Amino acid sequence: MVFRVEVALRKDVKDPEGIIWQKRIAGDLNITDVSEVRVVKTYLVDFNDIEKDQVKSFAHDVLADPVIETFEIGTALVDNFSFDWIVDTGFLPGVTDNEGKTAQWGLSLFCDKKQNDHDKVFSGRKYLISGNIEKSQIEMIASKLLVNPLIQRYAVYNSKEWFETGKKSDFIPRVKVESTPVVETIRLDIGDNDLVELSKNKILALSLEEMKVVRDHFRQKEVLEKRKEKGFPSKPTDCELEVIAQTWSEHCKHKIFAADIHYVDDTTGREMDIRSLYKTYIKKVTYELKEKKPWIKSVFDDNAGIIQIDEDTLLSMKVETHNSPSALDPYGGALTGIVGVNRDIMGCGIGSKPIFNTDVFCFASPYYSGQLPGSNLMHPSRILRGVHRGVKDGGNESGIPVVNGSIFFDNRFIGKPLVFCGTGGLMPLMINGKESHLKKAVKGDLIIMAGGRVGKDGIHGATFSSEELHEGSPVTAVQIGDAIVQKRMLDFILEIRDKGLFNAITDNGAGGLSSSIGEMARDTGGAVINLEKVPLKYEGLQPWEIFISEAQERMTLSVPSGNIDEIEAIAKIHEVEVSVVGEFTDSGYLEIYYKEMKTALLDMEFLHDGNPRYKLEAVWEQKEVEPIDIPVYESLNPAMLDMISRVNIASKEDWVRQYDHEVQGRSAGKPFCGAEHDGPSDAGVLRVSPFKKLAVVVSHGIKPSFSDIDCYWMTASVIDEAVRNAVCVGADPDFMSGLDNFCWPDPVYDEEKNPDGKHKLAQLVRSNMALYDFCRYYEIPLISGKDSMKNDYGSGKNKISIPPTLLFTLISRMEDVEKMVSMDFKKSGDVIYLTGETLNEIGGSEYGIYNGLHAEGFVPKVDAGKFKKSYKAIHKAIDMKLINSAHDLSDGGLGVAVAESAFSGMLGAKIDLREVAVGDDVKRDDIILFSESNGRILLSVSPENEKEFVSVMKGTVYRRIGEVTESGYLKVTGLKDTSVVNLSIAELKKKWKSFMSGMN
Amino acid sequence: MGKASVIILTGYGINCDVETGWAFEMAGADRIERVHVNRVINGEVDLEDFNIMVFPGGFSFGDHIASGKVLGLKIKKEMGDKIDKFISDRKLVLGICNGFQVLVKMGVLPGRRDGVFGRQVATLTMNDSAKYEDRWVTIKANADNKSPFLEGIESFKVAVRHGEGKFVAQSYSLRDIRSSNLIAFQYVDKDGDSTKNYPENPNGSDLAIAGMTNYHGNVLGMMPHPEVYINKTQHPEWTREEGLQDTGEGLKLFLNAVKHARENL
Repeated sequence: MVFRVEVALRKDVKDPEGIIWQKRIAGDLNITDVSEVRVVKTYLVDFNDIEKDQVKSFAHDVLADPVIETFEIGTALVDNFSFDWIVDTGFLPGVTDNEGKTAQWGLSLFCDKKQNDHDKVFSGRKYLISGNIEKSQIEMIASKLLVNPLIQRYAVYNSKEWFETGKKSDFIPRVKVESTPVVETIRLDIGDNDLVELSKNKILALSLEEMKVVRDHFRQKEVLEKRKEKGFPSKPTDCELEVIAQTWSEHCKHKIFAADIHYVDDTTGREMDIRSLYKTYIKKVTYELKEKKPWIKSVFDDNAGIIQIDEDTLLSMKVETHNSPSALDPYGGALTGIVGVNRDIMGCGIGSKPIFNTDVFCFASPYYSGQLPGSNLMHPSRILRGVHRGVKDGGNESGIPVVNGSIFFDNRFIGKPLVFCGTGGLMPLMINGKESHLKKAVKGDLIIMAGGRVGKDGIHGATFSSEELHEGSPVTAVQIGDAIVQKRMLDFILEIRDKGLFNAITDNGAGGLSSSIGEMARDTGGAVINLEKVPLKYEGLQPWEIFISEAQERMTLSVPSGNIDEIEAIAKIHEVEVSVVGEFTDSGYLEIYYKEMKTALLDMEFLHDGNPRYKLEAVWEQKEVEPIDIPVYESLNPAMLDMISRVNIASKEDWVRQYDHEVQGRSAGKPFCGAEHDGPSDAGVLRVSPFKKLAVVVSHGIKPSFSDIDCYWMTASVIDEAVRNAVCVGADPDFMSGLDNFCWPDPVYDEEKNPDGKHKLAQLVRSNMALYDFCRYYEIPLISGKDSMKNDYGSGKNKISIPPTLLFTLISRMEDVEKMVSMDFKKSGDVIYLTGETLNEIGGSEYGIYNGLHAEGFVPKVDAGKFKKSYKAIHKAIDMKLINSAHDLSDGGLGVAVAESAFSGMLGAKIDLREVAVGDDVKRDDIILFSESNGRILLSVSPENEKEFVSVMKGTVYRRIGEVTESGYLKVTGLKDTSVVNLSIAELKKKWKSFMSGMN
Repeated sequence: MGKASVIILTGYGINCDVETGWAFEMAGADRIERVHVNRVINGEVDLEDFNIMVFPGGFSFGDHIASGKVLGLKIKKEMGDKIDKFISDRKLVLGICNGFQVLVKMGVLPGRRDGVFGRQVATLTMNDSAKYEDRWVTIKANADNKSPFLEGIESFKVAVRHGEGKFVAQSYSLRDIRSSNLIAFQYVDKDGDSTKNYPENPNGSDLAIAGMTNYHGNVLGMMPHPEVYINKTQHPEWTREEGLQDTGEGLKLFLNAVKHARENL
């Protein structure tokens, strides 16, 4: 029997959610005739053996709030409300329904029913909409705002239709899959075209060359003999092909970073052969620094990089991207992005505890007004809102604070938004007398899957993210996480970790069990897996689907058989499901069974090292620097106000404040600082514990617009930006580690599909060259990284490629948190200093783009030797408590930085551009004010500390450019001794804060 | 003198348990245990061994259905008698944020004059802004509330971090809450007056209520998070305010609890 329960706020209670929807309908869809929206929560109770009275009592006691809500069993509730339209919504079958799961759990407890596989509650929402609006408008409201048709269904009724038909219709989204598990074999003795077709139809994303290698493998005599001996069919099984495809996916194997590249610089005529960008640049710089940085504990071979930050503490960090899923379902994509990277930390070493998240997004402008280039694309404002909500729920519900991040807008992200999610974690250096960054599965250990259950969600996620998006992208790639299931699992894992009950752990991310068990089995050299032991969300999955599903919230553990009972007992306390699904062996094979069905027998060596290496071409052509053409204005007041409210500069406070940034109690440098708690901090600072003064500093740099000129200097710039940000708050320049996350357009040349592939690969090569060069100069080991290489929408001429993007995340340390400096001016009378030199570098800058320039002008460069000296001096001055505020100059340059420091401190400032250290060719006020030259930091210093400050800074470039005032005005004197900016702080701040607020 | 023994409940999405433990550690509590609710329910841990119990902040059951509701259902159903005894013995109970929501929705706050569990007559619901927000506000203690938690506390700045913190009660209950001096903390404006105005009042609470006690003062529930203002560097203005003490003002509440437990329980 199915019962429907509907709950709503009483008529006399204001409905804040409804008000928000009304606002969005007007703002996003320009439909202004909606007079009211009210939200009704719906629950479809589909239980065996339950009475209406029980459901009614549950609704009365639990589902409806007795103070403000009302409820009905059935559909009579809305009879009490007036409305013109009803939009009735619910999830599609198989989509994670967290609210429904909680209701089911609560109802079972409420009526003392044992949890079982059948009983379900399906949650939904009804929107009661009043106003004089057309059916087509309601359809638009439903499909463009209220639901995502990929994961939800909806029905629309006007009030008449509602009473005639709507009341009676009930859609139960129970998954029904009519299929019996079978293992199929697949013929590979087919022609080249058929191999390509096979790869495409099965979404394997394997190239012809790779398909041939697979085919040849299964022809080998030894392979055939082994299969015969074990009773396997000679032809490969569906599961085997899927496992190979997943293991060899770009997402997991990083084939482009591992490729042989022939690089030609057309300008200089220089040619070179690179055997793996990863080994040549990224690994190399880290290994070269290893001796100097003994605190590097584990890099490149775990889920995250691990460093030692004091005598008994390890810090781990990882940053991931979740771009394609976020394009399809922004909320679910971002949510799984954040909880997914949390699991990387939980599964690194013997298990770390996540202590902070970071998030960086790249979107098209939320004010984009053009035509969307594809019918399956969403408007960027909707993506922004959905991604933001996903990261917010994922972090907040898990109790992990967001401490650092940014949003970068460029309309070339219209087809593929970028969603970077990072997590840092802590663990003790030693646990139970063992070094906790080490782990190893042992032969004979049982393989345990812990956490969520497996469904069809996320199948082909790993291969799918290696493909460009197209109209027919599979919806199984969409999934929604459950942060609470994961939080329970985290509590459980930390407890069994501290008791020393397992030997190794890793998370189930891309590729699911195939990836996690496949990786761990390398420790022992094999594994036997029994897929029928894996708990499922619903029946009907094929064995191969069980093995590669990316269903969320799961970890894989390697457990000595004697510890199983204790693990199960602890799991019961935490209500975490654990299942023994196999055993680690040293057979050299991954052996998979589903009951008696022989599902896969894969040679470990072939699986992990058998994929052919790509051979790629890269050609670089240095463009001539085009001169900039910007009119000269007497007053820069209008430019200043426009700059401060540009979408990449304006305050994101409304968005960021919705992230919990203080949970766990470590926050010392919050996202906001200053007199009114709204100043944009340069970096996140976390005190390791209230009983220690040691702090971790988290910062980042990102600047895709510089890539239009040269990815070498883009990369140098983002590294410098991350370092500068960290130096501003007081981080130790000698204790910095980096994480590189590349998001690139497809760099593999194809005459038709990707004609500029060689150029994009050259950009990637140059980015890696700079990564090596500047990490070496700054002595920053790269402890972790990731690449996402097919960030394009469409193909051929209509292709929209993202600008090459590198997110450089930096974690550093300060020994005494109490020396931290924030970016807000503190006192009138303080002297303003600017370090570094301002050059004619407008190329790719916000001011350049504001003036309609694109790739014209000089891109900012990095003089690492000079900059490093300056940063060390600043660090010393901070250490000596000589500095009252420090703020990084980045987007919008000096003008924006000085305005931000002033209005964050609610103080005025006057500066003189004649005092600024400039390059020989800098003769314009606007260039000095808005150039984005690297290496510059704005400082304020008490007059009594000036003398000492000057002596510390000796030998570096710095200038005294003005002072902090009480006036409430920002006053800038230009090169001709005239006032070029004279604006009130209040006006600047208002402009800065208004642009991005009120949207969410 | 007795000992202050603190039990901090965990599980199902509670997530402020560690820092709440730190606050009690800094306040000098003699024993601090973080215990999964199921270990109290199955008898592995005995509430009788403790005299301070905390329902920490977090997102129990993801705030699905309504914040605090489902954890409240579980606790009341499976360990309600133990809670009843603990509170009847006048031991101290502190509910922070999600913990406050749990206490209200179980009917422990305001509760009854002559018992522990009452009907649910108040609620904490969606902020007027319809947004979850993390921001610092100023709260003022009610001088007429004689709860041991509040001794010597006047007003202080503290973080709120919630989406469902708007306190609403049926009108007769609200009158009673006020007249019986159950209000513990109110959101105040620059002049120190209780306010309805956003953002000083971050959620639109009736009577600007940020926290309340039961009739006996031994149960305190509050939306703000005093446990993360136990040292100076947690204050958002610490890099510019010169007069801040090294220890945060939120600590006082924990010191009070420890002192009261030692002296009276």
